[in-house]
Amino acid sequence: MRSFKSLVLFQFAVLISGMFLFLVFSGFFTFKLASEYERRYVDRLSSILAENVKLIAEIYPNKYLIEESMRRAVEEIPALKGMCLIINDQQFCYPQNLIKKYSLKGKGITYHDDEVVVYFPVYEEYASQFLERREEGLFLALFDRSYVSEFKNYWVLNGLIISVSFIAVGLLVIISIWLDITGDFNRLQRFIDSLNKPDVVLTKPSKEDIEGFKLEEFRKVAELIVRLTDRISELKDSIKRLAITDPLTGLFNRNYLNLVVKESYVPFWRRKASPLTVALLDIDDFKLINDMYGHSKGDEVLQKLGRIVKETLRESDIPIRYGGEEILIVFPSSKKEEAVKAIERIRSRLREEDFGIGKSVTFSSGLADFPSDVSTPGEFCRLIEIADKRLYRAKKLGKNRDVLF
Amino acid sequence: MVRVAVLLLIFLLDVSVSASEVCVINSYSIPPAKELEITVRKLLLKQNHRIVKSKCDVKVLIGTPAVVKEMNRKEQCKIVYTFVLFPEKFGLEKKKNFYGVRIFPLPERTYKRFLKKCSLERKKVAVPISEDMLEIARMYLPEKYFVLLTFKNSPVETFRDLLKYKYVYIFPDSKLLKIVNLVTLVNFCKDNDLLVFSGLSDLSKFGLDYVDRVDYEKLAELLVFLVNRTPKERIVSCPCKE
Repeated sequence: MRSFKSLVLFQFAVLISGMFLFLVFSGFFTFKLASEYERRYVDRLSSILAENVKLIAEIYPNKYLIEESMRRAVEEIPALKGMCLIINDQQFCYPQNLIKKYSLKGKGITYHDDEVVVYFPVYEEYASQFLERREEGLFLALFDRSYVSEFKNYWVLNGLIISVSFIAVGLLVIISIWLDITGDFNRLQRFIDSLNKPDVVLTKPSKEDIEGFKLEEFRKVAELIVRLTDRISELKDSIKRLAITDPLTGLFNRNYLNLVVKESYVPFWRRKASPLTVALLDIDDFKLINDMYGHSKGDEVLQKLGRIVKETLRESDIPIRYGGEEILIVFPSSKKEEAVKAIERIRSRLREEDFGIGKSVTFSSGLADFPSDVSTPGEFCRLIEIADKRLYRAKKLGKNRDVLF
Repeated sequence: MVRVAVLLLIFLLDVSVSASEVCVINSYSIPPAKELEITVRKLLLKQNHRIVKSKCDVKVLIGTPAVVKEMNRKEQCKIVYTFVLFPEKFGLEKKKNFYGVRIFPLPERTYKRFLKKCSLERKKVAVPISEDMLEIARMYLPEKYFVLLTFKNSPVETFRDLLKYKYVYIFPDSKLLKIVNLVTLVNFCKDNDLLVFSGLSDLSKFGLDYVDRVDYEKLAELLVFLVNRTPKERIVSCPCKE
């Protein structure tokens, strides 16, 4: 697949070649056209001269009068060097020896070193068209070739100048458009390249980035990319959220515990060696609620408990739905005596909730902390095991209570 | 029933007699000749003739060059011609297969129309004629009406004699019809109250007092008539507009 740069270079090469060919052809045709006009010019000028001289010869066929008229024409027309009229076996020439130099018959234009000779037969002109015209002689006009060619050269030069001007203007316009397109393509390429980096964080491009495009189409493509990027970011966030969040309670799930807490937070807590409490909550008689009032009621209880937990805890505390009706709460920088206060607040708010089952819903909890229960925060799993055992004991002791030791 | 059958027979006979293959050859590029050619072609097609380019029963020739070319051929098909100024010059009146229509009316007829149109009394008409054309002019200009005044180079040579006459006829003489000569003659006549007339219709632009105008529609009809029929008279008069 060709890159845009090579495509542009190729197109430019084609364009330059096309323009060069155009210039050659236009020069050639201009030359042909100029030659044709030159031929017509000398032909028509000769016809007018012939008419003039012939008329004088018909009115008053006097050798001196005709030759004098020829001399004046030669003097007045710079390109004309001489002419000759042979009519009714009489010969009128200026200069005198002209016809000896060129012996011609019929009709034509011949080019010599420095002269152009135009010759054609002259016919009798009648007042009535019913009379058949007869050839009565020959007319010859001699032109200065350099003078006649000057006209052709000017014509060709003008043609070439106009062609080159048109091509130059066209080229400038095309180059300008190309530069705009190339600039926009490069900008778009950079834009795409920045998104293609493996560690890229999708960020919305600035207004300057978008407005930097000169062509509307490119701006639209960039805007589309921005919209798609935004959408991808949203989807990525959404996927991330769904991966670590429990959809029913809105709390973190066990993925978060395993991937984030254990991987990232625990090493940090271990280095810091500050107090750390783990509490494991379990709703009392949850199975009974499900069996008696249906799973929707159970879900409602879990949903409300999740909301209360989130609203009650600090931002630094980490609530995780650990099992079916079990919630694990991590209290960083807190001892279990401090954490139990937060749990009591949760219990108190849950008790106030009316689930329409004729009694309030309660939960039991087991708490374990560093430094009381383990020697280092790195023993995080051990803390959970201890909390789980204490939760079990809280259940045994009659539920709706917290066991800290 | 019998009447219908007879009429049908007459119609079929007429069609079989008149329908022939005709070649139309025009050797002149002047506008009246071109228009005449178109009209003739239309009339021929209207009368169920087939217009072909070769192997024809009848040839319609327009112009002297076409007629001269045809005279040299050995073929003996029927020839109908026009736009020949002097058919007698080529002896066409004696050729059995040549039938033509004159392109200018006989001077005598033009003279009579001139007198009638201008309400003039009959007088002898002077005709300046070049020596080269004298022989042929005598064929066309009867002594009863016309007096020939010959010149060698220019009609100016006849001016002194012209003053003795009242009317001047312009004959299709190539030397006389050179523009300079004609204009000189017409100017002289105007200056001396001589009336100038001619049978050549396109001379009207030179200020002649009377010219006969050729009726080209009728001329075309006459040519088609000659294609269909074979009259005794081999050269038919030129049809003129009244």
